[in-house]
Amino acid sequence: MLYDLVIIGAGLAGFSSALVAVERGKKTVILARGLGNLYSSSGYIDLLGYYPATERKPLLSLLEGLNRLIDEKPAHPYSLVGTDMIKDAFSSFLSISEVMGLPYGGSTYKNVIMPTAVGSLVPTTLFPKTAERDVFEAEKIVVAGIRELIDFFPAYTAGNLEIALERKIDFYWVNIGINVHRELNSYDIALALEEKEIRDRLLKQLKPISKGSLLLIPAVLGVKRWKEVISHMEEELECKVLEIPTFPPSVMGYRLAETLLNYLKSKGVEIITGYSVDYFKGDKDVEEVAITMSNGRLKKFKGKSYILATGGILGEGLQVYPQEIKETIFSLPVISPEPPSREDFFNLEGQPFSSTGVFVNNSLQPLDRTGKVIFNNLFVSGATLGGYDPFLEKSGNGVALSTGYKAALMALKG
Amino acid sequence: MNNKFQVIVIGGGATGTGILRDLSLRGLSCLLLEQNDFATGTSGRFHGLLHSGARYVVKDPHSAKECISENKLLKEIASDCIEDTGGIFIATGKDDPSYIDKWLKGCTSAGIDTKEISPSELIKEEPYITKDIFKAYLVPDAAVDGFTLASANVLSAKKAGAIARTYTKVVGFKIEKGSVKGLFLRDHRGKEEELRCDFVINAGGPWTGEIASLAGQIINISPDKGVLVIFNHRIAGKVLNRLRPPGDGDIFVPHGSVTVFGTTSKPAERPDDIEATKEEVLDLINQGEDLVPGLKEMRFIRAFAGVRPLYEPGGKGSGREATREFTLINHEETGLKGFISVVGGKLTTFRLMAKATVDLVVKKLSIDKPCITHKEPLSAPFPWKRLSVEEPLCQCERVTKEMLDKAVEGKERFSLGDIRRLTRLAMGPCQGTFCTFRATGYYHEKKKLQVIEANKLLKDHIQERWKGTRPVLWGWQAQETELMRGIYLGLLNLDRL
Repeated sequence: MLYDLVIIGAGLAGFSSALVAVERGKKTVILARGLGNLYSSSGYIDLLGYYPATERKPLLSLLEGLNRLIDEKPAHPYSLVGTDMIKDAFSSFLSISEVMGLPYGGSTYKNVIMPTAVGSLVPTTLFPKTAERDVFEAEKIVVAGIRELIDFFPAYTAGNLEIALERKIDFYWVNIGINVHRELNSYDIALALEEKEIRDRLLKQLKPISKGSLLLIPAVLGVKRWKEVISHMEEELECKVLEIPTFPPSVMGYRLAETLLNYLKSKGVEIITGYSVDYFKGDKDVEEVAITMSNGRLKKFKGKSYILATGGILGEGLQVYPQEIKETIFSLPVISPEPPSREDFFNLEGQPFSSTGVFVNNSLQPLDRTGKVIFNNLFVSGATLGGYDPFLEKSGNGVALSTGYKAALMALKG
Repeated sequence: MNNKFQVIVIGGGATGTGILRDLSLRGLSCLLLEQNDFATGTSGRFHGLLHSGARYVVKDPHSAKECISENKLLKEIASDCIEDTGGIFIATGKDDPSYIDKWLKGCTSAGIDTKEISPSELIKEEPYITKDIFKAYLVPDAAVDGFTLASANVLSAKKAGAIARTYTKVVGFKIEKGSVKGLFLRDHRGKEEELRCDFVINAGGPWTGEIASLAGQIINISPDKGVLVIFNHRIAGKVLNRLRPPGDGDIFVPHGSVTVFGTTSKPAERPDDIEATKEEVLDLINQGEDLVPGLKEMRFIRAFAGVRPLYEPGGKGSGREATREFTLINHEETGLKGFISVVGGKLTTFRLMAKATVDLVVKKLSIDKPCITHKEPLSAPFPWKRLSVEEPLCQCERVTKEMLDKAVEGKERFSLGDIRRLTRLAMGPCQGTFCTFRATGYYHEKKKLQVIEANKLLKDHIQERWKGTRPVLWGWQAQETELMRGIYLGLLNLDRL
C-alpha cells in the first residue's frame, strides 16, 4: 500500500500533521515507538511565554513578541513557519478541538496567566475551556490538596501564590478515603473521582470551604469523564474550579493526547505504536521505512512523503553521546551545542544541549552540513528541530503544533 | 553553652567523629567543629568500600592487617552502617598471572580469608562481569555508608556527653606561652565566638594543612583527586575488585539501588577540587570496561570526585605510591603544645586512628583511661533499615515521611543535601526529579518554613544534583535532565520564581 503520508512519532507534532492530512482526506499512518510526552505535558498549548527567553516578565501582547522573535532569530522554528501559518495552525486546532469534544479556549493575540503546582504563575496561550478561570479576578481563592496524592502540597502552593498575587490565600487538605497501601498518582485519583461515591466524599469536605471562591485543585478531576466531574463539583460547591497541571502522569496532558489519538483513529488514520522505525531505504527521496515486529520480521511502509516528529532528547528523537548528538532514525546531522551545558541549572540563557536539533530549510526539509537537502520528501517537526528552548521560553507545544502543521502542508503539496 | 572543653576536635569526617566518640567514651569533655555537614569531605566522597585489606596485601601488608581486623570488628559493632555484600577479586586474561601468587600469600599472612570461585560459577552469580576470567577469589569486602558512619559516631559520642557542631568554621587559635588555649570560630550566620580548651585535634582531612597554618604550623598535604561514577543499578551484588596492583577504575561497590565505580588518582589543586570532568569520566569508564564489558552503554547518573589527603613525611611519593597508613603529628615537637594533627589513613581504619590519637592525648593530659570503642555498638541515628516503608516520598530509595521527620529532629537549619546524606533521599536513579519537590512541600508545611526558604531548599538541591550530572550528560542521563528541566522550568516555571 502506498500512503500519502507516513508520520513517525505520536506526540503533538505528529498529531498536528495528521490533523492536516485528515482534513484533506489523505491516507495516513503514524508509526511510533511509544506514545509521546504529550501524555505527561500540562495540556496547555503555549505559543510563546517569554521573549527574549531571558525575560522575567511574561509576554502579554503575543504577536508583537512573536514578530520580534521572527526578526531576530531566523533559525527559530517559528521563523521557519511564519506568523500567518502559526495563526492558522492555532485557529485550526481551536476549531478541531470543539469537534473532538475537548474544546480549547484562548487566542494567538494574548497569553493568559495560570497558577502552577508550586504556586508560581506561568503564561500560556491555549487551554482547555474548563481552565478558563482568572486568578486575578477571583474574589476569594482557596487551594485544596488531596492527601492521597503525593505530588501536591497546598500550603506550599498557596504560600507562593500569596506572594505572586499579593493577597491572602487559604489552603486545605482533603482526602478521598482510599487506602490501597501504595502511593497514588494523579491518574489513579482522577479515575477514582469518576465514581460518584468517591467524589461525594471529596465534595462533603470541600463544601464548607469553597462556596463563592475559585477553588484551585490538582488536575485529577476525571480522566475521560472530566466534563461531568468538573461541572458536578462546580454546581455542588457553588464555586468555580481550576485544575492545576501536576507532575507526570499528567491528567490534563492525558486528556489532550487521548482525545487526539481517538479522533485521528476515527478519521481513518492508522496508528501503530510499540515498535521503533529501525530501517529506511532511499537516496534523494525516502522510498520506504520499516519497523521490526515482535516475530523479528520487518514490516515496511511506503509513502509519498514522510514526516519526522520523533521528539528531541526527551522523546528520544535525538540521542546524546559523549562526543556528539545523533538523530536516531535517518542519522541526520545535528547542531553541536557549544558548550553543552552551563553551570547554573536555572540559567535563563538556557542549557545549550537542550536547544539542539537537526538542520532544516524553510520548508522543514533536513539539510546536510553544506546546506543541501538530504531527502526531498522528508519533513521535520517538533522537538527534533533546534534553535529554541521550549522550557525557558514556554513554546514547546506551540512549536509542535505549528511545525507539525507546516510539515504536513509541505509534505502534501506535491 | 559551655565554652570550656578538655579537647576540641576539628573535622566531622570519619576520623574526627571517631576521635570524638573515643574521647567521650573515655570520659573527656569534648567538642567537635565541622565547617559543613558531617562527612561532606573525603568521608562522603569515596567508593564506600569497607576494605577487607586484600587490596593492600602486596604493597602495604601492615595496612592490610589493620583493615581486616577493623573490617571484622565494624561488621559486628556497626552493622547499621554496613551492607555485608562480600567482595570478589578477579584476575582477567589481561592481568599478570604472577601477581596472583604474591597476592594469595599476602592474604594468608595478613589473615584475610580467600576462597576461589570458578569462572563459570562466578558468571552465573554475576552475569554482568567479563567472561575473560583467569582466576577469581571471594574476600570479606563490604559496602559502608560514610555518611551514616559519621553520624553514628556522633550519636554514640553525644550519648557519652560530647557536643558536635556543624556549619562552624575555625578561624584562629588562641595560643599562650607556646600552648594552645582555645579556638576562635565563626558560625553560619557569621557570628564569631571564642572557646577554651586544653587540647586541639586537627582531623581536617584535605584541610589539615590550612587548619595547622592557623596555628602557625606547617603540614604538607598533597591533595589527591579520585573521580567516581554512579550507575543507576547494582551492576553486581558483591564488591568487584581487579586482581592486579591497585590502579584506576578497578573497584565497583553496590550501594542501595546504585553502584559506585572508581577511581582515579591525580594531584588536586585545592582541598575542595571536587568536580569531575567529562574527560576524566570517559577515561575511568574505559578502564572499567575490562571488568564489566558494556559499561559505556550502562546508565550513569552522576559523577563526583573526592580528595584524599595524602601525607608523606619526607615529602616524596604521591598518588598510589604514597602510603595509606596514617601519621600523628605532635606539634609539640615544633614548639606548640596541646595540638595534634592526624593525617593520611583510610576510612576502614578510622577507629584505629582515633584510638592512637586519643591514646596520645590522654597521655599528655595524664589521664589513665583505656580505649573502649571496640566494645560499644555503633548504631545509626537513623536506622533506615528498621523503619516502616509506608508513604515513601522518594520511591527510588524508599525514603518515608517518618524518615524525613527524624532526619531534621533538633535541626534549626538544614539543606536537602543534609537530609540526602542521612536518608539517601534523591540518591537513586531519578536523582531527585520527583522527590526534591515532595520533600520541599513536605518540610514547608511540617517545619513551618517561610515560603522563600522552601523555594531556596528546592532550587539549591536541584542545582546540587545538576552539578554531578554535568560530567555525565549523555544517554539516559541527558534524557533525565530534560525531564527535570521540563518539570522544574517548563511546568513549574521555577527559574522565574
